[in-house]
Amino acid sequence: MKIIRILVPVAAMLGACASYPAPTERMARSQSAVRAAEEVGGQSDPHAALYLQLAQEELAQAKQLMNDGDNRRADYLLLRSDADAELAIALTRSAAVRIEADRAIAEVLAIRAQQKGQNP
Amino acid sequence: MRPVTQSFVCAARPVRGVIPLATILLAACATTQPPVELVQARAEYQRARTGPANQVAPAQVHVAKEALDVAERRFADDPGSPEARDRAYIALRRAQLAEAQADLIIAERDRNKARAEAQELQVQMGQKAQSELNAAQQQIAQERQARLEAERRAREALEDLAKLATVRQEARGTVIVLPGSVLFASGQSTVLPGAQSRLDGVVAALKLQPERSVLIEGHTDSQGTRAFNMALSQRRADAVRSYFVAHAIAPERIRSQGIGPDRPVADNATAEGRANNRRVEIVILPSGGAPPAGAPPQEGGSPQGGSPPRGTPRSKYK
Repeated sequence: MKIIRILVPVAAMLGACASYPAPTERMARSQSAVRAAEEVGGQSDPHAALYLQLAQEELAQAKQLMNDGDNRRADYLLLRSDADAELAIALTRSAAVRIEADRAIAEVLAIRAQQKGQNP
Repeated sequence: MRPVTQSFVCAARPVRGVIPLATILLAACATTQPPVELVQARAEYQRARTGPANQVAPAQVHVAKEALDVAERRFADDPGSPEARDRAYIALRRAQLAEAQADLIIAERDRNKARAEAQELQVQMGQKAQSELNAAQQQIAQERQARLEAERRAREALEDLAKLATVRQEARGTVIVLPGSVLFASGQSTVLPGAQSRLDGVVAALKLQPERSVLIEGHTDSQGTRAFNMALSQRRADAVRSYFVAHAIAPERIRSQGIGPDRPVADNATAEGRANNRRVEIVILPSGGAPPAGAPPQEGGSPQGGSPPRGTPRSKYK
């Protein structure tokens, strides 16, 4: 009886884990997002680098959880990883475009100053 | 940041005898505290909704709102679950993403606007520079044309003058030779009325070359005393100068000098030679040349129209 009392909950837990499918599709998506964040230069922007690192760590944890059979937790960690990677991409792009905008604005100011110097 | 809110208000009161119940209720209250991720997600979404993101990235703000709704529902259904924290975490990132997207769009607008303006300004500067270049080239062309025209008129004037006097080019300039017998009565220094047409021709030539200075030299033959001839030649040179000045030639351009008998061009032993030596030479100096103060005539002049070299008898003057 005692063995049955122990085995029944364990079997139930194992059944629950087995019923949650492996999040392979989400894993692929998260991997792709992390890769994209790395390719746009997420490491070079300090703000974006933080979220890229989180995404990488969550991706690694999700892999480990899948290996351990906890697909449900892995799925949620992959959701986190994907969200962090997307944010890292947006921050990196935003910072790069802001630099371009500042350069263009500086150029306009320089031309205006030049014109003013020619026609004081 | 928005203060932490609770899903419901705990109103348990410590009543004697029901302490275990209060403990249970307090424990329940503790579990309904929203996770820090949800608190942050609410604040971040609020910031996105009330900031520029709502204007420039409304779709992203909407996505953030949906993520927050999911997180709130999950928190209401199962407050203490890891999934509730996960959903709140994701909602926070969606709100941050909306703001990042808004920053990106604003930066792109700023960049594109500035680039367009820079391009426009550069086009304007290029057009202005081209316009100035065209004007300068036109002015140069006009000045060149005017100079060529002036040179042509001066050349024609000298050609006309050559019909009235001998004109030759020397290193010191253009030399116009007028016979003394045409200009003055013997021993006199008053310009004869008949000489005025020739002098007017010289005046016309000088007016066409206003940048050039003029030296007027009076020459005599060797008859009479040298002192008399020096004085006579000076007076005659002065008389020609006065004539030019009276006819609107700037006086500072002209210098007169009496040479006397010192530079004959023909043999003083013959009447013809003496007639040739009695003359006035008008030297139109090269551009930029000032009237020399008593400088002797330069060697190397080449006679024009078959005129003999300086110092040799001339057979004929016009």
